[in-house]
Formats: sequence, structure tokens, C-alpha cells
Amino acid sequence: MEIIITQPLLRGSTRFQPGQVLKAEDRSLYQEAQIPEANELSFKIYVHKEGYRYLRQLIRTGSAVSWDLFSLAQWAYQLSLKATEQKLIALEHLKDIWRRSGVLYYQHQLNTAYRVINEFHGRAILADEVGLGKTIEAGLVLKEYLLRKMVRKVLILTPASLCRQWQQELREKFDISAWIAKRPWDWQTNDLLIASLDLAKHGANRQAVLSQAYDLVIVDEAHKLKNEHTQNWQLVNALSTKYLLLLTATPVQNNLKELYNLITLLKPGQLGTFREFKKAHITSDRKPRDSEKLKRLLKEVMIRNRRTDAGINLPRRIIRSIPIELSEAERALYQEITRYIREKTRRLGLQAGLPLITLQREVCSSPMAAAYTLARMHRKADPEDQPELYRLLERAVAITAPSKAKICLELIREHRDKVIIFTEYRATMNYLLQFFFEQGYQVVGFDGSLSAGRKQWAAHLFRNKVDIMVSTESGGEGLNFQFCNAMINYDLPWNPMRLEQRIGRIHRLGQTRDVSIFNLSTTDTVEAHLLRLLDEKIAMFNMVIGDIEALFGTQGALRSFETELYQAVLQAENDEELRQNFERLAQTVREKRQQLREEAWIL
Amino acid sequence: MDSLKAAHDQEVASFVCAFYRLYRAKIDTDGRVVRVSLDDALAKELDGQWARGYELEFVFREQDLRERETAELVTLGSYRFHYLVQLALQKGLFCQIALSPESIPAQPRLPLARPGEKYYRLHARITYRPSLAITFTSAFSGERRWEESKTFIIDRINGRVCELVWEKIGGYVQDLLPEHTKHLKKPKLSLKKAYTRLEKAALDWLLAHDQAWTMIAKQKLATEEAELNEYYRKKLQEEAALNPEAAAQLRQIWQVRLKEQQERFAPKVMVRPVQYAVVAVPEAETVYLRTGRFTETKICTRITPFYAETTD
Repeated sequence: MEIIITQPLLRGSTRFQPGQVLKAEDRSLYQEAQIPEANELSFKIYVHKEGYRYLRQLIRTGSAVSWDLFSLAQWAYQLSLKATEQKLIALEHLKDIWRRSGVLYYQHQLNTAYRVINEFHGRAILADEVGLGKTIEAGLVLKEYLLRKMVRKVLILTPASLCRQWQQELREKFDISAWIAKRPWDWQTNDLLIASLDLAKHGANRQAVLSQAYDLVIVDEAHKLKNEHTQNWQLVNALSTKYLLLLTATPVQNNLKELYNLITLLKPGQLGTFREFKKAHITSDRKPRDSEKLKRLLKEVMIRNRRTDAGINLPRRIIRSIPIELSEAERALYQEITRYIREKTRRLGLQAGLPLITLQREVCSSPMAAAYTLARMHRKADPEDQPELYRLLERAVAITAPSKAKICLELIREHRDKVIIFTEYRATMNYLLQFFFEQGYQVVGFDGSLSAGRKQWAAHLFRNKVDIMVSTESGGEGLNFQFCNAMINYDLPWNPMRLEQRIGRIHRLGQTRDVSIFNLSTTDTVEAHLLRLLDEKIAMFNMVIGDIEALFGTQGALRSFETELYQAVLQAENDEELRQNFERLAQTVREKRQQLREEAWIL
Repeated sequence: MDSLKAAHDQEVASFVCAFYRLYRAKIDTDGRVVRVSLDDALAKELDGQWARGYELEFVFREQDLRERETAELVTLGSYRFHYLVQLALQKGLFCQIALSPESIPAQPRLPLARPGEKYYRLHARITYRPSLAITFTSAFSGERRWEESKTFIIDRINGRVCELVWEKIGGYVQDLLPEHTKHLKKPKLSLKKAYTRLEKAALDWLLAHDQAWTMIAKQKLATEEAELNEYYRKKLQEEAALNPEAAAQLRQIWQVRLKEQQERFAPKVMVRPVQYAVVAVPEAETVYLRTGRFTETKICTRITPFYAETTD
């Protein structure tokens, strides 16, 4: 229900300003109509309380407009009624904005939004595989409800790290302004709120959250609600909301009770009481008695789109591993640093060795990155360590033409199109920017220190003007570069999820050409072992994103993979031991992957 | 379907052009592309005090984007359409108008009771009756939601309420001028009473409305409530050993879930006024002398665009 205020009006303690639009159905402005003669009325009628006051005020303030403006408003209203006859108004509303800003949408997302509203009546689990656009689907549902004036008070609960991303996506993709909750009074004063689950469930915030009745609640990463004894689950269960969307790619992680808990939040009774559910459906923790029957029940409350069903066939990934022979000076530096780390670890234990691994990885990236860290370590080191570090620093600084950069240049010349180069280290990025510039290339850098505006500008430059973008990990998230089809992993992140995020910048919905991914790895170094592990042993580059998320994601079965890699390196006394440690890790990954596949009956 | 879409596209294009033309923006049409220039003053008027002049380029059919890729596609429900609709509604909330005397239908033939009876017109005049017209929208919600609107007009002298179809009288509307107010009769009905009667007319219309939609909503609500009640009853039984506090909490959540279902499916209608018009309605008042063989009576006829009456 929208009331447009044309004159300042004081109602209670709230001052409404001219032009302010009150969003849908502010119930406090309505009262139930008293119709004494209609005893058998099968519905309730509410009338607006302020109608007469508006009229009086309009007359008193002489706010009459010409007949032309008045009749234009009539026409506008009749047209807006026609607009609501469409299947999804939100799509029509956003189509042109999306066309111009390059946002891509897919049929399965539209179907999902339509089904949530018309079949599920606003309460559903959106359980698409990772990367199929659950946020777009939820955003579409929200926008549709807003445009149809069916929701006013909306709460989006997400992990803290995703609050800003949600805010940005809603603003940029859906033209929806949402506020991120920080203080207890935010829940009362804002109609469209994003809040972290952790913030909402504690203390005064919890009271404030529960004191409100919501029209729509969206919970992202809803697998965090799998346990009914947790505060997360209890908070969402105690919320009063007309519509509820639970977003998760992994509705079942460990056992069927988790699934039961999730569905009970959404529609209590859909699976009976837990005792009934257990008797009817569970044989062991993970295996249902009759999976078809359970699937049928789930389909009444859950929508899961899979890549294969959604008809999304991404172009091929062409992976090329490029082994790089280090120069004599680089090799000497690498060996000396490795020796230094092993000696330190032997002397001070594994914990002391952990930060030093970065140094070893930096040498593999570029001597400049290592030099930067060595200089910092030298400044902070004990006096007895300083000469050794200084010697290493001198060696690093002396290397001015790294072998990797030369090979990288050859690849770029060969590709003759836009290329994005990823590195873990800003020092390497700065060196490469200088290096390519000197070679006559137009190049742009992209790293976490850039403001949001500068990031957009850098992305614009890469799209329209320059051929090479050199980016640190920060470019791995959020921005999309489907117009480019080649990526060089100048060095490799040790977290496979981060590697997948890098690739996902160009190998995603909207990419029309085959994508080339070049992995540079220095031979006989830890980098070569890592690449062999990821590429050959676990075939990570050919895994689907859903598998990678399930294995290495924040909630994945192998979420501590990076730490285990560090330990594998530190515990190895020599190259052979390192190879064996990596082989053991590969075996663990393979086993976990197989286990996940066996349990994926529901997906 | 395609022809309906084409008609909608056409209507949206007409609406957009009419909107900007009304605000005296510079409009330039080049085939299927419409260019609109807003100067600083107009931009401020439409978009707020910080706005500066700007130019817009519109097309109204997807296929026309091929001609002009940078143009904005405006369709029924698009962002720009929504924005202009909101602006139009915001600006056109209230007007004061008069209907021209031409809106009065022709005098119906006066009845002759006996042979030989004749009518002589003694005098005739045009006056204006103070009236109030309000457009109400009713938002129906149950299993789904939709809106309908109706306009009613009330004569503030005799309290007579009629349904008003703007399209029928649109051609006779004039801005309210002193020449109208000079002949405007004094209202007998207060503004508040007039408003209340119009609101009642809107409610009466709702009561007479087809109520089949409420059955579907009620059925859905009943099913959902039954499922919830069964679940919570069993859960309370199963967990009889629960401490009273936990049981009370469970009952409380049960009530919350039931209330949610009410919110989702219970059929209801929300009525609100969206446009108001103070209307001077012309009235042709004619006094006749009716003569028979032995009698003479004066008869007065009053005809407005909405009704006609005759009094002795």
C-alpha cells in the first residue's frame, strides 16, 4: 500500500515529509471497518485512517493541481494495474537495468522466483548448486513482493562477511536500499535490514529482533541452522514472519536430522514430528528408508537447480601447466630460504615455521615479493638472525629479471587478446605492472587497497582500454570479467576455493569462448608439488564448483586443507618426504570426495 | 498475446510522451527513438532540489534496441515506467474542477397526465452543486493479491452518491474559475460527512463484490492450520516430560506459526483513497408551469450529469 504524502504531516511522533512514499501496507494506518449489517462477511475489510485528514490538508493548503496532471495520475494508476497482471513484474522492472549493467539472468532463476511466489506462497528452501545464482533468485522474490506491495518489513540474515555483499548486490542489481543492522534500535527504525546471524542472536539485539513482526525473512547460508539446539536455529524459529526463504547449497551436510531441522523451521509438520520422521524415513544417519518418498516431500518446500538441469553448459576450461626453470641465482635463493625455514622449524617447532612458509611461496612468485618480506623480517629480527636475513635480502634484491616474468610475457604475446594475471603478492603485482609497461603494454593493476570507485574504474579500463590486468586475490571476488578468456596464475593460492574463485571471474555464466588457464610453476619447488597435487592427483581444475565448495568451502568437508598443506611442507625433511606428504593429502581428498558423492542422494 | 503486448507498448509510449509534454520538457522523436531534454528547473521539479538538467533516450520495444543500443527500454512495469507512474501519482493527488454545462444530458420529455395539458417554461438557470469525488483502491489479498479501483462522487447538498467514471465526463472538465464559484450553491453536508459517505459507498461496493476468491484463500488457510495444529499437538504429547517452561514456549511458537498463516492466507481487503477532486457539478434548473383544463401547477426540474429529478 503506498501513500504519497504531499504535505508535511505529523502522525504520532513521526513526521512524514512531502514526497515520501510509505511502503506496502503500513498496518498502523488502517483500522478494521465496522459493518454491522454484514455478519456473515467472509473477509475482513480495513480502511485507511488518515484519508480524511489528507483531504482536509490538501484543501487547506491549496494543493490542487490542474486537471491534466490529475488525469495523468489516473492514467498512471490504470497502467500500473495492468503492469501487475504480468507473471513477474520484477523482471520487467529490472530487465533494462540489467541489460545496461551487464547483469545476466537465467530461465531457472526466473522459474524459481515465480514458483516461490505462486506455488510455495513465499516459504521455501532455495538449494541450488553453488554458482547458479541463489542470491539473484532471492532478490527477485524480494523485488517482486516489494513491487506488488506485499512486504514492508524485511530482514536478511547472513554471515557477517556477506552483509556488505548483500547490501551491494541489492543496490546494484535490484535497486533496493537496505540498511546493515549494527545497533538494537536499527531493527525498529529500518524496514529493510541486513544483519549478521551472530549479531542478531545475542543480548539486546535478540530482544529487538524478536520484538518485530516481519513480512519476509531471508537466511543466507542456511545450513548454519541445521542444529535445533543452537542459538541460530532458535532465533529463526522464534521469529514471526509471513514469508521465509532459506538459502543453502548444502541442505544435508552430515545427517538427515539436519535436513529435518531446516524444514521444520520453514514448515513445521511437513515431515511430521521427529519421532515420526525417524520411524518413516531414517535407516542410518545418512540413508533414508525410501528416498523417492522423502524427495517428494522435500519438493513441496525446496527448489534445487542443478547445472545439468538448468541447461547451463559453460565453455571448456583448457588448463596448461607451464613448468619454469629457475635461474641459477633464483634457485640458490630458493634453496637457501628452504634451508633457513627447515632449520628454524627444527629449532623452534612447527608453530614458528608456519609464517616462514610464506617466504618460500614468495620466492616462487618473485624475488621482489620475497625481498619485501625479508626486509620487514630483518627490521624486526633478533640481532643473531639479522646477518642471515640480510644476506638473503641481498641475494633477492640482486635478481632483477625473474624467469617467470619472461615466460609470462611469451604467453601474453602468444595469446594476443586480453589476459588477467593473478598473483598472491602485491610486490609481485607492482613488479609485473612495471615490467609489462616497459614492454610497451597498457596494463592496469587491481588490489585490495583500491577504493570501491577505483576498483570499478580499473574494471572499466580493463573492459574497454587495456589488454592486461594484474590482480591480487582481492580481484578474485565480486567482479566479473567474462569478456576475457585467458588467465595466468602467476603463483598458486594454497586454498583451492580461492583458486576456483579466480577462475570463476572469467569462467562463468556469460562466457562464450573456451577459457585458457595457464598455471606457472617453478620446477623442483613446493609450488610444483602443489600444482601436481591440485591438477594431477585430485583433478581440481575439472571439478564442478559444487564439489569444490562441498570439499574446500567454509563449511566444506576439508575446510582445513590449507593448514594441512602447511603442515605437510613443514614436516618434510626433504623433497621425498614432501612428495609423500602431498600424496597422503591427495588420498584424503579423493576419499572425502567419494564419500560426498555417495551421500548426495538428495541432491 | 503479441498484439496485447504491442498495445501495451504503444500505450506506455503515449503515456511517457504525455508525461514529459505536460511538464514542458523538450521532446524529439526520431523514428522509434524518443529523446527528452530536461532543463535544470524541470529536473529539480521532478527529481528533487539537487537534480541538474539531463537528457534521456527511450525506445519502447525490445527490437528497437538494435537501432539504438544505448537507449533505455521503457515497457509496462520497467524501472522508468514505475518511476514516472510514481511521480504522476504523487503530483496528481488532488484537483478542483468544474464540469461544463454541456455535460448535462438533454431535458427528458415531461409527462402529460391528461389530454390538453401544456407546459410553459417560466425560467431556467444553470447553477453549480458542490460535490466531492474520491477514487478508492481496494487491495484484495488472500491466496494472491490484486487491486481494483472505483470512484464515487457525492452531492454535498442532498448527499446523493453516484459512481463516477472519469472517462465519461473527461471531455467536459474545466478548471474551477470564479465564474463557477459565483454560481456555486452552499453545501449542506460537511466535508467530513461527505468523506464518510463516500467511504461507505466504497465498502458497500465491496460487500456486493463477488466473494468466490475468499473461498480459495480460506480453504488454503484451513489446510495449513490443520497441519500445524496436528504437528504441535503431537509434539506436545511426545514431549510430555518437557518442563512446563519448554511446553509453554512450544505453545507460544505454535501461536506464532498460526498467526503467520493468517497473515499469509486470511482473506482481507484494504481500502484507501488515492485521488480526491472537489467538483462543481452543473445543474440545469428549470421551472415550468403545467396547465390543464382547470389546474395550474409549478414544476421544477433539476438535471445534473449524474441524475435528474422533478419536484412539484
